[in-house]
This record gives sequence, structure tokens and C-alpha cells, in this order.
Amino acid sequence: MIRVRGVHKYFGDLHVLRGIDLDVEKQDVLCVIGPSGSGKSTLLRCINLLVRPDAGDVFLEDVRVTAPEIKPEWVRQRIGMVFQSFNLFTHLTALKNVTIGLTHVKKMGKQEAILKARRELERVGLGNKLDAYPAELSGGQQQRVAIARALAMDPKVMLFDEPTSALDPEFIREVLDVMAKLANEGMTMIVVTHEMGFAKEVADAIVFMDHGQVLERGTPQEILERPGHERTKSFVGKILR
Amino acid sequence: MGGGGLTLTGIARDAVAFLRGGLRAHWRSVVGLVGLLGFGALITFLLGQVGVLDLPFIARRWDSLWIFAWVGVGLTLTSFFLGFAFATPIGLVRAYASGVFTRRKGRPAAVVSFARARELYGTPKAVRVVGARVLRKALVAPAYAFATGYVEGIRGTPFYVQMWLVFFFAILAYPALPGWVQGGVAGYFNFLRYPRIPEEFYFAGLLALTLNTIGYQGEVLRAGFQSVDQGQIDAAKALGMRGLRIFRRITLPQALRLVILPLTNEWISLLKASSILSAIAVTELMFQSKQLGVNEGHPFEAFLMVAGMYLLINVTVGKTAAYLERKTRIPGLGIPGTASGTRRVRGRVPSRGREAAKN
Repeated sequence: MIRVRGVHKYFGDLHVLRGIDLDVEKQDVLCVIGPSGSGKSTLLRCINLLVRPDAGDVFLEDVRVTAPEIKPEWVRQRIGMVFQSFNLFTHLTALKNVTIGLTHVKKMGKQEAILKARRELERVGLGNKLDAYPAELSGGQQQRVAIARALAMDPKVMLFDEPTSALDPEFIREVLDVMAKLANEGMTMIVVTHEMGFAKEVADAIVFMDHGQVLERGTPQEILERPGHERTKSFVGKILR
Repeated sequence: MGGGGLTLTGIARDAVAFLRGGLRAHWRSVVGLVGLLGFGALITFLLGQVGVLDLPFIARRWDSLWIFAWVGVGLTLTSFFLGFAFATPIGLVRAYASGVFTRRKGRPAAVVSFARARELYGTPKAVRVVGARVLRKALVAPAYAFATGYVEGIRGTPFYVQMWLVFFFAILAYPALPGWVQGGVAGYFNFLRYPRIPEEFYFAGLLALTLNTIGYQGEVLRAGFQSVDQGQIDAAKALGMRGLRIFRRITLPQALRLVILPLTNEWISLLKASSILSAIAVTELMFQSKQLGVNEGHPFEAFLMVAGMYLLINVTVGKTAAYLERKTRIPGLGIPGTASGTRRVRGRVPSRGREAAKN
């Protein structure tokens, strides 16, 4: 579904991604772990072209999305993204946060968009918060609206960029539950996370990144219980303690 | 009158509720207004009693002010909205351009070469696509330089000086303007039913006010645009929205809400600046105060009357702006009720963040 080949990214003199290769099959859940500054977020942003790779290629199914003739909007419509800080549109209600992409990008009719948005919000358990503004919602609720907003576009892949890192502990569960449900329904997902419990239960594979490189890739058991690389060992050791 | 968006039906509903509410519902604002007017009236009355003010003169001549007030308000309104239209691109350029032409170190972004574009699209479209890109890059730096120079020039010099420069320019240039422009200008001031003076004076005044307010509004809008979080734009992009649509649907509404207050300040400043136009024979309030004060020999009365008129207009505008601020408040964001001063939101207490989440 997603193939990443030899992706490099520089921010000024900083070499953030140093030749990343990655494969995610249809309906798979890939968790990306690693210390902060290791390039995890940048990698996700390279996949939906919020950041354009300086070298290398990203493929969505058989389309080389890094090809210059591919419009980034075309790619982003097909790849949903959920951010660490939610990034809900603060001036719009939960419902409108979901419908805006449907009416203005997918050109869906207003009534149809509202019906669809309602369904998506009910799916994440927020059918009773349609008219609430983001500032009236808890972090967990905001993140679930953000997930509904991305899902409403019927993406082929969902990218999650540390979706629970900005949440109070009491709200983490509800977001992870929604994500686990999504994974069970067969959504293809790439999840940058520090939630090892989630990774263990839901992920089909885990990659460990450090200094802009993928150091290790394996099943959750391999990475979390028998890490091969020294850096992985120390990172996993610190985080599981 | 809670927040939650500006719609015509909402405004109409509030207006009906306001009129129906009567004294009881609005006693706070009524007390404030009565206090203000009463205090002014008392001082005026006392000054009249001791012979400083000629009260019958004020009563007799007050109505002569309206047309001159209308000249000032009409010119200010026109230049304010014209200014807003031109200030938006200036604010945009000032907010975003520096990021485009600032040379980043490291690799240049991957772009389609002309040769590659020709393979992909054929020659005519390749010329358009690549040409547009080159042109955009080439224009950004000069546009930023122009916008910055303009803003600094307007903010750094007195309006009085600007007005005289514009005046001489306008008087010289006006006869050279094409007939339809002159006709349009004359027609507009006719339409506003302004006192008949040569229309190039009005034209000069309007031009001076507009050029001035563009500079100030440009900076207000720049601040508004820059205060919209980058995450909002990332989220819109991630949904597949494009530049202009993101601006129209995300950046602009969020920025406008924030700049209501500074734009109100600018409107008030502009109306007061319009008093200076009397120096170039524009027949606005200040102009009439000279007539009443000097020619009719009542300087105290004249300037007090004019001050009162300005106050009346600006308090009305201020109240309207406070209403707009209340209407566009986003539930849960910021502190409720600051714009209204004394008014409380009745009924449902606006819920905020975490407390709301627990139920």
C-alpha cells in the first residue's frame, strides 16, 4: 500500500532523514517508535507531502507520489492524518470540522456531507457533541473528532503522529480504543507512538528509528522483547520500565 | 447574545430581542448612557448658567451639524472599506512573503525543470506552469519590499503631511484623469448628497484617508494572519485543501475574528483624522465648527458641539463592534463576556474545556 524508498530530508544543514525504506501492506498497522528528534514525524509528513523529500520516493499503491507531476492535494485526499496537537479548526463546530473536507475537497452536497459527518462522529463515540466547538471538548474528544475528520475522507491509509502524546492520562484510553477498533476494521495505519501497550496489541510490525534511520524492523515481540540492536535495547528498556 | 458565528438571521433575532427587551433588559447600558449624557448635560447647563455657554445657540445650530458629520462619516466609511481591500494583500505579503524568499541553507526543493515539464505537458502548458513559478519567485521579494516600505512610510509620517502631499498631487492630477473616472467620482459624492464643492477636494480627502488607513490596516491584518496557528494550515492541507481555499475558509475567518478590536480602533482614529481634512476645504465637522465658532462668534459652543458629535458617532461604532465581538466569540475559547463590559450571558453558563468533558 505504502512504499518508501531511500528518502532523505534536510532542514538546512540538519540531515533529518538518512535514507528511509519502509513497506506497509494493505490492512497492516505499522508502529514507528524512537527517541524524539529521530525523524519519525518528518517521515510521516514526507508520506503525505506536507514535507517534500529531498531525495528518494514514496509510493501509494502503484503511484509514485513524489513524482513532480503528482499534485500534493491528490495524495493528501487519499491519506488521512491525525496530529499530536489535534489541530481542529478552532472556529468550526465538531460537525463542521468534519464536513469542511467533504464539501470543499470532495465536492459533496451539504446534506450528504452532514449525514456522513454524523456517521463518522458517532463511530468515534461523539454523536452527542456535533455542535460543540473544539475549545469546549476535552483533549480526548478533540482527538477523536480529528480522527473522524480524517476518516470521513475515506482514506486508503491513516497516519497518526503521536496521537496521544498531548493527552492527559485519563483520556489516552478512549483514543487508543478508537484506533484499535479502526485497525480491527482493516484500516491501513502508520502510527508514531510511545504507547508500547498499543503497539504490542495492535501493530503487525514495529520499526525503531534513530538519527533519521530505520535501525530495526520486526514483529512487536521481536522488537519489544528481543531487540537486536543496542540502541533499540536501551530505548525499549527505558520506555517499558 | 452569546457567540457562535455571525449570520443575518442571528443579527435580526438579536435586534428584535433587544427592542423587545425594553428598559429592564438593558438597564446596565441605559444607566451607562444616561450617566454619560447626564454628566455632559449637567456641565453644559452649569456653564450656561454662569454665562460661559450660549445654550440657545447650541439648540438652534445643532441640526446644522448633521450634514457635515455625514461628510466625515461617509469619507471614513468609504476609505475604511477601500483601505481594507488593499490592506489585505499588503498584510498577506508582510505575513508570509519573508518565508518564501529567505534563502534556506541545504538542498533546494525539488522542482520540475522546464525540459521535464515539456515532456509531461507539452510546450504551451510547460511555459505557463514554469513561467508562473519563475514569475512568482521573482515578484515576491519586490512585493515584500514595497509593502514594508509603504507601511513604514505611512506609519512614520504625520497624516497632516501626507494629506498635503496627496492634496497637491490630486489637484494637479485630477484634470488629467479620464472622463469616466471624474464622472464616477463626482457621481459618488453626488449620490452621498454632499455639499457642493469642487469634487477634487473630496477626492483628495478620500485618497489621503485611504492611503493612510491601508498602511495601518495592513499591519493589523498581518498580525491577524500571523496569529493563526501553523497547525491549522497543516490540518487543512492534510485534508487536501489548497492555498486559496485554506485562506478563505481557515485563515481569514480566524484572523478576522481577532482583528475586530484593532480595526475598530483604526476606524475611530480614521474618523478623527478626517477632521484634519478641513484644512483642504473638505466640508466636514471641523470645517463647520470654524464657521460656527469664528464667523458666528461662538467658539466654545461650536467646538463642544463638534466634540459631542464625534463622541456620539464613535460610541455608536464602539457598541456595534462590541456586539460583533460577542457574536463571533468562539464558545470555550478565551474569557467570556469581555467585549460586552457589563453584560452577562444569561441561562446556560458557557462550558469550558475539561469541565465540559466530564459529563
